[in-house]
Amino acid sequence: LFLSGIFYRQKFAMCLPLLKLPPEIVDHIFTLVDNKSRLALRAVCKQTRRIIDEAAKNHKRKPKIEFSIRLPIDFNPDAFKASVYVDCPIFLLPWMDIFNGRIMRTSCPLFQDRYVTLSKSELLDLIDSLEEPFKGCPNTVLHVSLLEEWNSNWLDLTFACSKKLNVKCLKINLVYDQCDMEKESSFFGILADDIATMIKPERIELHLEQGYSRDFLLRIADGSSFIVLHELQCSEDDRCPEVFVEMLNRQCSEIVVMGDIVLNMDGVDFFIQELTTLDKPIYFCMRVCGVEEEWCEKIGNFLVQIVHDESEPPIDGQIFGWFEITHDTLL
Amino acid sequence: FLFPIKMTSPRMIKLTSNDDKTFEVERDVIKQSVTVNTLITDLNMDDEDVSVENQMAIPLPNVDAATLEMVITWCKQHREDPPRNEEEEEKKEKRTDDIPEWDKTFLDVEQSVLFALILAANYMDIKGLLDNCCKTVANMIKGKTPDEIRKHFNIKNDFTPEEEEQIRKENAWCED
Repeated sequence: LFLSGIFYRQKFAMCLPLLKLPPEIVDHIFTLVDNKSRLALRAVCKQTRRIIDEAAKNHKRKPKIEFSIRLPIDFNPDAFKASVYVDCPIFLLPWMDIFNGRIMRTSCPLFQDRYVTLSKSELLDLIDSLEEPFKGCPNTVLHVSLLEEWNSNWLDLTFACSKKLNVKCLKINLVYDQCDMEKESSFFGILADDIATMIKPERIELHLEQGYSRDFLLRIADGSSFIVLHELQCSEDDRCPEVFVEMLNRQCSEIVVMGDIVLNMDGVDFFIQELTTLDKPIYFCMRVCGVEEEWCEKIGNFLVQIVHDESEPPIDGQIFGWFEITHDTLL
Repeated sequence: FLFPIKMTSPRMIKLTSNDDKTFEVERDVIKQSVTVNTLITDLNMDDEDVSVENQMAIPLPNVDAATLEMVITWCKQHREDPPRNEEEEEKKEKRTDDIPEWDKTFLDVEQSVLFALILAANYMDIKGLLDNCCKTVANMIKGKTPDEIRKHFNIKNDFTPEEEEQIRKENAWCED
């Protein structure tokens, strides 16, 4: 009786195994598990692997992939580091054939970077071999950094990759030391023109640590509707609020300012005056020092949220205000 | 004077399982099943002039008596639940740690019973029950190694050693 009981239970259990449930239900169950369990399911049997890979391919959320191209100090156009950042590698599984063996993991667990040293032609081949949904997808980002003096190779590569990727989001880091904007005006001119007339990204992120050229920013604003400015250091003479307002009056429809920015009181007054008349949004995620609390409250009407940074004590009675945008708003 | 008060008894619906057992269930309870609800409307069974004795039983050929009894118990427990907004549910973050306590205990059953409930909930189109059953199965998968999953759900490993090695490499690439 005991053995037949076991036999009955085994048999009954076999009648309705998990994988014999209707496919849409199995798919649904697998979408409810975390990524680690999805990977475990891939390794269970052929059917579970197929289900997980298909789900990754058909997932509504497109994989976010960022190609970063850095030109090292000993720049060699035929061998440089391209890194690939993916926010959730499991969504890249269906495209493993493209990436496998060519992109290695870094030791940094935080960013899940995958990188490889490629020649220019290898990088372009890799981009060529990509299919939808990478090309023309807003989640596919081309991030180009210029750490040393610019040269035509850098521009050529940026332009070639942008075109091949049909890139919608372009990030540019121009952070090399001793950047002389006047001296480099021809470079910035070409770059701005390429962006505005040829690449036409929907979104552009600029990381301009060493300052900016008003003309460069305005030309960029002619070519993209959504601009994110990182770490924009303005000196008191730069009158950056005026530039922001001018930018918004171009093609550009939205600006997000990330990072520290120092405004003088003239700038503050100008902001208050201009922001009241602007019909386009400008969002800040920045620290403003040297302003009165009253101003923080005034400008707060135009911002999503103000958080006073209590970790930094006021210096000489100055108020530090953090102006933060919410994640949803940024997206 | 005593006036006769008309007591309105709840409207009852008859359901028959695939092993020919008939259950009487309140109309208000079984409305959570979209399939049954549609049948009642289509067959004009909401007509109050027809007594329950004369009423046709709705056959549920894909559900056995034991499972149907459980489904009815679940529907009774959830009769007061607000109607689900599927669009909102779709937008919600997918979680499995929000199964109500009563459901957790109710669904703590043999795998075969749980899977039978899933099939019944799917056939009868009872989204809430189906959702909580699927979450329960997902919780069984979570945190397990491939081998543990195989053992738990009695799944045969049909990979060749080479394929297993390939998957190990791919998964290593994906792991955080």
